Parts: sequence; C-alpha cells; structure tokens
Amino acid sequence: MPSPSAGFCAHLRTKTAYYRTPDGERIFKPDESTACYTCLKTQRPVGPDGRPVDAQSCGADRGCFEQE
Amino acid sequence: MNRFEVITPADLASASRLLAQDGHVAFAGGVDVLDLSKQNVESPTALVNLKGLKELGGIEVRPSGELRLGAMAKLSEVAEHPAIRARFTAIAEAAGEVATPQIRNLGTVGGNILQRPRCWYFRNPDVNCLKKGGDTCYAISGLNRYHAILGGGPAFIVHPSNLAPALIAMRASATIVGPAGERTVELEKFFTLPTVDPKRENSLKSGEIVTEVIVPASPSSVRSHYLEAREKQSFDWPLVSVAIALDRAPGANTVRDARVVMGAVAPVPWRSPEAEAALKGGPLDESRARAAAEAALKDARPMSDNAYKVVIAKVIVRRAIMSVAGLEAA
Amino acid sequence: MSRRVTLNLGFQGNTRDVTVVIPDDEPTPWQWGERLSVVGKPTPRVDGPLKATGAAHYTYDIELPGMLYGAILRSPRPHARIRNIDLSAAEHLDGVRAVLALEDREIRFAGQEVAAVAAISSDLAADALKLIKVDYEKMPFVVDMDRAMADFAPRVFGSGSNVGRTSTSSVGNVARGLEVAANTIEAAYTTAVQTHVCLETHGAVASFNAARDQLTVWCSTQGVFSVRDDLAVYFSLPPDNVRVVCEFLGGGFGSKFGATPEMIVAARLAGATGVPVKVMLPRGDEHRSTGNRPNSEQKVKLGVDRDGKLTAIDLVQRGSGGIGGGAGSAGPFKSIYRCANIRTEERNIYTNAGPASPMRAPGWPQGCFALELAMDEMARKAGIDRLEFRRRNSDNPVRAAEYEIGARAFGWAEKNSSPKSSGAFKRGVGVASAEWHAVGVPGPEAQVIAHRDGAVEVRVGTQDIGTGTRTILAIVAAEELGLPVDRVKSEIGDTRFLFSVPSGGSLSAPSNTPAVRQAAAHLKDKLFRIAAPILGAEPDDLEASDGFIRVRTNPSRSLAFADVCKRIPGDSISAQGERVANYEGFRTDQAGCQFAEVEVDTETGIVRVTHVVAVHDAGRIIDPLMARSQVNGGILMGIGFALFENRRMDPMLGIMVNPTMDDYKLLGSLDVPRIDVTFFEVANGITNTGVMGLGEVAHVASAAAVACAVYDAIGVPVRSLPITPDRVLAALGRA
Repeated sequence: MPSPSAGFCAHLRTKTAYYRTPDGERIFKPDESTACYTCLKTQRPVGPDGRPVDAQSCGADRGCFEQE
Repeated sequence: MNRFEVITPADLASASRLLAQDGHVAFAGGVDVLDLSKQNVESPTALVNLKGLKELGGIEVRPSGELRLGAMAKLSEVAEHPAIRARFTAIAEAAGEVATPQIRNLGTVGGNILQRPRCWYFRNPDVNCLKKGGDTCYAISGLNRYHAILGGGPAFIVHPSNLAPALIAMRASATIVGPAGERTVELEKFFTLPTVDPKRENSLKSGEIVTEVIVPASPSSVRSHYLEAREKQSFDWPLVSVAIALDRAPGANTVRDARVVMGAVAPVPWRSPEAEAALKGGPLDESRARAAAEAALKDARPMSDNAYKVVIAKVIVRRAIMSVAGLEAA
Repeated sequence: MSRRVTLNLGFQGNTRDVTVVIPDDEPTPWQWGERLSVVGKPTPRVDGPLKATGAAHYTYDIELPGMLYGAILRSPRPHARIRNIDLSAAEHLDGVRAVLALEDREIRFAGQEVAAVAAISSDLAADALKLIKVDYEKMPFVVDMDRAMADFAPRVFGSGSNVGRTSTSSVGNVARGLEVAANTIEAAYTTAVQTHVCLETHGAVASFNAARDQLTVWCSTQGVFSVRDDLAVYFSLPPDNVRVVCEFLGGGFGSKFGATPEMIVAARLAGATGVPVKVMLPRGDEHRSTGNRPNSEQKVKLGVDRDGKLTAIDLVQRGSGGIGGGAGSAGPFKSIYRCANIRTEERNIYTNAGPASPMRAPGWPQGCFALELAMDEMARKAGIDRLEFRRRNSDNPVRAAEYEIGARAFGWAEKNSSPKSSGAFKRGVGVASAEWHAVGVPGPEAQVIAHRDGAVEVRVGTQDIGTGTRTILAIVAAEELGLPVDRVKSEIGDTRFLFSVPSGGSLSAPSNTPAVRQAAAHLKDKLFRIAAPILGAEPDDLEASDGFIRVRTNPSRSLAFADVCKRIPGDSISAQGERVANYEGFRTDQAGCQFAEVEVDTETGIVRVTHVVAVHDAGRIIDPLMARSQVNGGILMGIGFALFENRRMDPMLGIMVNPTMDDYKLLGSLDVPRIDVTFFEVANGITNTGVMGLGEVAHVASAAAVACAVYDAIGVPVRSLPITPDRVLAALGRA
C-alpha cells in the first residue's frame, strides 16, 4: 500500500521512492518484502548511526533523522 | 596491476639471461600473465617478450613422422592443423576446446602448459594461500568443488592445461633452453606435485624457456581422443578432461599399448597406469572400458564438495575409450 | 477540459467497449484492431550501428581535459572496526591530488568502501590505494544464512538480531485448505545469490565549476533525474545546478537507480581537486559491492482437491539481502494461480555480505521457480498433465490463450508424451507462467521539434537501459506525424531535457511513449495550422500520413511534411506533451508463459537447454525486433540463474571467492538455445499508446521452466538453483 513520504527521512531511498504519486509525494511501500533500502548519506543499507535503514525504522526517533 | 616494462630480446640467449633476473616473466600470448597481473596475483617488473624469437615458432610434421610444436605456436593453429587432426587427434581436439576463439588466437602451446592454476583462493589477491607463500591451502576447509580429487596435498589445486594431458598421452617431450644449455624432458616428468614445492607446478628453472614440444611419430595403429566435461558449453574450464591414446594391432581388438591422462583432477596432468593396465588385459569392449575408468579413479580422494568430479571423471574416461575404440554404448 | 471516448479494447475474440475520460489535448488511445503505419513493424535499433562500431559513448568513454582518475579502497575483511586509517603516504605520492577516508568506523562486508584517491592516472590511483594503511580490529562475522540464524551467531548489526523484518500475508485458511485436500505436497526449494553483472560496471565522471556550485555528472545510470535529485540533496545544491548525462548505458538490471557510492566519490573528489574525476569500478567490485538478487529458501506446501484445483498454498521463506533487506519472494505465490487459501511468511536474514539491490523482477524468478516446480511435483502426484493443471488453476483469459499458442508452437502434446530416450541423455520439457503489471506511471514530459529541413527530434529526459528506448520513441513520434522512422531522431539521457522517470519496473516504454505521442500530436496541430490556409482547409480537416499533410476528404490536396516545415517562421517549431494518469483500460496485468526443453546427461549431470518458446503480452508492441530482443535477454538471464550463476562466499574467510568473469559463470553463446517468441497483442487503452513493459515479465518464468524440464527429464526434482552437475547427480543418487 503506497504511503505518502510525510514522516519518511529525507535521506531514505528505495526504488519506488524515485517515483511520485499523482500528488507529487515520493512512493514508499513499507509492506513490500522485496524493497531494498539505502541511506543517501552512506549510500548503503545502514544509517549514519550504524543501524539498518528501511521504511519502518527510519523514524524521528533516530538521531540521524531529517524531515524531508 | 603494477607498472612493468616490456623487453624484446634479440635472441634466445638474451631472453634466457633476462628471465634469470628477479621479477622478469616470459610474455608469449599474454593471456595468463596479464590476467595474473591485473588480478594483482603476480607483479612482474618486466615482461620478456618472446614474440619474434624464431626458435619458438612454427608447427612441423617432420619426415620421420615426428611432430614439432614451437612454444609460440597458437592454439588455434594447432587445433586446425590437418596433419595434427589426422595423426595426433587428441592434441588438436584439446587445443580446440580451450576457452574461446579469441583466446585460442592469442594463446600459445608454451603458455597453455605453463599457465598458473585457476584456484579461486590462489587468484584472490586478498588471500595469502600456500601457493603464494602462506601456510594454508584454503580449499581444504573452504569451497573446493573444482579442486583436486587425485594427488592433492599440501595444495589442492588442479592443473588447468587442456593441452598437457593430450601431449602426455602422445608421449611428448619439451625442449628447454636455459643458462645451462639445452635439455629435453618428457612432459610427463616436467610437471611437479605440490609435495615438491607447493608454489610451483613444474620444474622449469630460473632463466629457462620452453622452446618447443616434440611429439614422437605416432604409428597408424594409434588412435587418440581428448574429451572434457564442463558446466558451460562456452568459455568454461573443464570439470574433468581426459586424453586417451590406444595402440591396437591392425584388425585386432586387443590393446597393445595405452595411455590415459586426465586433466583438472590433480595438481599435475594425471596419468593413470592403472587404467592403462586395465585396458591391456584382453579384448576391448564396454566392460573393459568401464573397468579402466574405475581403475583410473581407484585412488580418488574427493574433498567436501567435489565427489561428483569422481563420478564425472569415470564417465569421461569410459566415453573417451569407447569413442577412440569405435564402440557404441550399450 | 476533457472528453469522453468509448474504446474497443481487449484481444482476439475477447474485446469490449470501455468508456474513458481523457484530456482534450490528448490523442485518443489506440484501440483493438487499429492499423498503424510504423508502430508494430520491425525497425532495426536506430543506435545499433553506433554500438556495433564503438562510436556510442558510454561513461567509460568520457574523457575531459585535466581529468583525474579515482579509485576506491575496499575492505578485504567481512566485519571489522576501523581503529585508524593512515592516508599520509598516499597523499604524498607524486601525482596524487586527493585522498578521502570514506568510512572510519565499522566494516560489515568484504568490499565495503574505506577510502578513495584521485590521481593523474588510473595506475597511480591504484598505487596510492596500496599506500593507505588501515588498522582493522577483526570482528566475528557470518556469511551463511543458516549460521546467521543460530542463537549465538555473530551479529551483523551490534544493535539487533540477524533475523530482520518478517512479512506475512494470509487469505482464507491454509490449515483448513490442506486438511480438505485430496493430495498435498511439501518441499523446500533454494536459490543462490545472483549478481547483476552489468557489462558496463558502475561508474561516473564528475565535474564542478570553479565556484563549486554547478555539478555535472556523466554516469552509468537507469535514472538521470534520480541521480540529479540525490546529488542535489547530498551536496546541498538546487537541482537545477546539477546536470546528469547518460548517453549510453551498458546494463543496469535494477542496480543503477540513484546516487551510488562511486558517483558520490567521483563528485567529492572533483570538489576536492577542482578538476573532473572519473571513477569506474573494476569487475570484482561490481560483483561484490553493487548489489545482487538475494538467495532464498522456500518451504512450500500445496493442496489440491479431486478436480485438481488448488485448495492451499503455503510459503515459509527466508532469504538474505546481505547487510540489506529485500529478500522476499512471495509475489508469485500470491497471484499467479487462483486459490482461496494462501499464506506466506518471508524473513530477511542479515549476513556479512554485499547488500542486495533491485534486480529484474525482484523476488519473482526465485518465487516462480519454487512455485512452479512444486506445481509439477503436485501434478505428478495427482496424475494430471502439467499444462492442464495450470489451466485449471488460472482464471486469466490472456494466459489461457497464451498457453494454447505456446503449446502449439512448442509441440507440447508430442514432446510431453514422447519417451525421454533410452541412453544417458534424457530430454524433458517444462512450462511456467509469468505475471507482471508494467503499465507505467505519469510524470514524464516530452518535447518534439520539427526543423526547417523537415527533420524531427524527440527529446525526453529518459535513458536507454539497453532495450531500444531511442528506437521506440522515434517510432511513436513518426507514427503520429505520418513520417518514416528515419526522419525522427531521439535525444535522451540528459537532465537538460524534460523530466522522465527512472528506467526500472519495466515502465520506460509505457511511461515515455504516451508523452511522446501527445507531444507529437501537439506539434502536428501546429503544423496543421501552418498548412491549413495553403491547402484551403481547416486544421481539423487535415491528416498526416506517408510524409504528407493532406485534406482528409480530398487526399490529392496535400503538402509534403518538409514543405510545411519550410514555412516555419524561425528555425524550428516544437511542442510538449505529458504522460497523463492511467485510464481504466482493459487489464492492468500481464500474463505470459514459457516452455523449455532440456537435455540432461544423466551420467555427468550436465544440463543443456535446447529450446525455449515464450509467449508474452505487453499491450501494443511498438517494435517487434526490440521486443523480441528483450525477451531473449530475459530468457538467457533466466537460464543463467537456473543452471550457472552463484555468488559463492567462503564461510571461513567471509569473502566472495568468484568475483571474476572466469569464476562467476555467465552463460555464453554455445549455451543459448533456440528461442521462439510470440507476442500476444492486447489493446489495453491504459494510455494513448497502450504499451506495456517487457523487461521483467520476460524473465520471471525462465528459470522455472528450465527447472521443470529437468524434473521431467530425470524424473526427480532438483530443488536448488543453480542446477549444477553435482546436484543433478545427487538427485539421481549417483554422487
């Protein structure tokens, strides 16, 4: 189920997030089991804080989070 | 790859002198030496370019019936040579199975028999294995699906040459020129097991150059064949190869003499006197071929991942015998 | 401003009228049976000669004045803490212009970036890397998925378990479905990690202006605009100040979406040195570090009733995306076949290995293999013909038609019933079903320009991932303007053109062609307005065909297209078009099926694929040559996945042992079977062109069909990919 990018970190990347909804939001599909996530800051699936990145865990509770 | 210079010596003696120096490596077709350099496995300071040395070129069937292969003869030339195909069939077939047409047009006879092993630990610059002066053959406890099933230890590489088993089956010798002059060595004795020196695959000494391979005249009663099994049909290394030469009296179905030499199964081209003996015991039929194949692998000691190579080797040996004997599978 | 149009959509023998509302300035979607002049006719790849002669410029070919060469130092260790990095010796090497530390804390896979240099030659850059001293503190690691799940396994992330996210889905009641089944089967299937093996490795050339506020990057990418946006964020520049160019791309397969490490490295080094820097990855780095298709273990249970209808599909799956996620494979289980009770559970396991990245139909080739081989095992147990079993469990009329076409073309009836041969070599056949949904997305804009000399140019900020994008865009514009294709030139691969989306998800053709068609229609309107007074007609009365603009009711009153262009007041006239949202259309899914024949040497275990028949629907086919080429590629990649490819990790060293073209077994020309491709045309009306993508759907079923054929040949299933000789011999009880 596509979710709006509000609430997602500005540096979180995944294939679908390079496309936008008709409303211009980046597309994240947190339930998709084949989504590969990376952090733009590291270009790797690991955040600057050393923890894995994905749509569920890259929230405001992480020190590296930046609102889009 | 490190920086190196390319030196083109004027004659064989200068080439030999250059190759006696540290870091100087012979440059023939350049296929393997450039691979090894680019992979940072070897770092020669100079490549001694053998192209242009007349003594190393040419393919010739002499009036005596003897075959001379210059060390710089291209594999494609060997594969396509009509007289080799007719009278030294296994050699032409082995040359024709190497890699790709592009590589066969560059690769040489000397380079093929002197190429370094393909072991993925040896070829990895981050792994300091036994063959590179380390203290461990990582294939023992690691991934060894393509490694030795015969003659392994302390290193478990397999010899990668297609041509060597065929040449040995045809009783070839190498002419070697070096600081101490010229010597001739039976190719069978030229290759050395890791027990002799795990860092080397043959007995070529510093400054020595293989100039030619001589294959003695092959009587018209001899039939030979090279056969290999590989995973991919294009550009792949054999899982197992075998060269067979059989000498039968005209009209007779018994084997006077036989040579059975396997490739990619051991750290050296692996001649099997056991299989040869089995072939000589009586009329040649499928059950004798099977017995010879069993005998060839009697001493096989597979590693954790490569027992399947023993099965394939038996099949390839049997099929090669059947083919060379003109027998159909039951 | 919109209008309502009724479209006749569907396929041979199955069409219906669908009414859609479309914008006024949008061309009416092509309908079923509509005869077009150049669309659908074979047009050779317009840039084929450039590629064949080496004139095409890839990123690797970009050379700029004063350019430096960058290189990246990677960790040889799978897991380590970096105590110290000493860059000083590298910095002092003559010819080295910049050295950067990229990671100063923790390494989690062998191949992770540690440092980078820029030097005046690539040789010097390589020398400089050797002078960088990294003090690693070794940490325990795990590269094997099973070991990673053990209680006391080393942790990839100190912060948490190696068992990552679990995804579950459930429809109906699987336990009940299995209980009522007349037959059940249960088996575990595995697939290996496959790397993308882009023939052009990842790489970029980056150049800043003197003020360091304008960045230009030439790179090997599937998305010039994605990279532009990523670089703008990373370097805090306005997107307009970043230009990204990718004229030609040597393969991506999903691994080249946004800004990848080497692009950032090239740009950082360019920023540090003030001159352009090129970074192209060596082949080994490409294998280890740029992504892969994750492995899988799939435990499958199926139940069928007495009529051969599925009563239960159950999947418990795990896969490792290395240090990343995305290893799921449940897609095919949830949608190819109809079943009231379906449960799936997927777990991503972290290991100290290179991270996964999207790869051609992510998850589907793995899932399709396990599902289809399980279907064959069930068909055998239940005593049903395998094709009939699939027919009974699919309610998709497109696929039903495709099964019949494929079965005829392949000779299924004869081949499936003929003996497997008596000797060591046994033949077998298999069939597998595909599915995808490549309808494309809105977003792209296109510009079409007519010049005074009558030449036409199409400009779109898309890129050609290798599928023939330039060719099909030219064909669509030529169709709308009534021109031969060779009068139209496509310009793509530059963010100076209008926006387009990344080339992934099989959506380039369905996303870009409608924008081009609309732009061409708008340009045609402008040209009609120029031609109308000369022809003494109203613009609405004109049509464009065969290189002429004519009065529809009196075709003898005409002007050559080029003559109309001579009346352009300036040098050129242009129009824009946009890709509007999808219409309801006919169907948004794609079916597809592939039949494979193999020959197995049962004594050596060596498998050869001898024949593949593929039947695919992709809406309207713009160019059958380009389309067939894509299907060929999908099949060959599938055969590689089925028989050869395997990223092998040494469990003790934690490294990939086969990161070369020698040891990583990519199929070659002699491994290519006879391939017959049939396109099943569907008028879908989802966009004005009705095109759907093909890249992924053509790959989904290929490995599955091969595995099913091997099962048929030898009578026992080989449940692990790749199907190597050792596995065949083991399945036969011979090794």
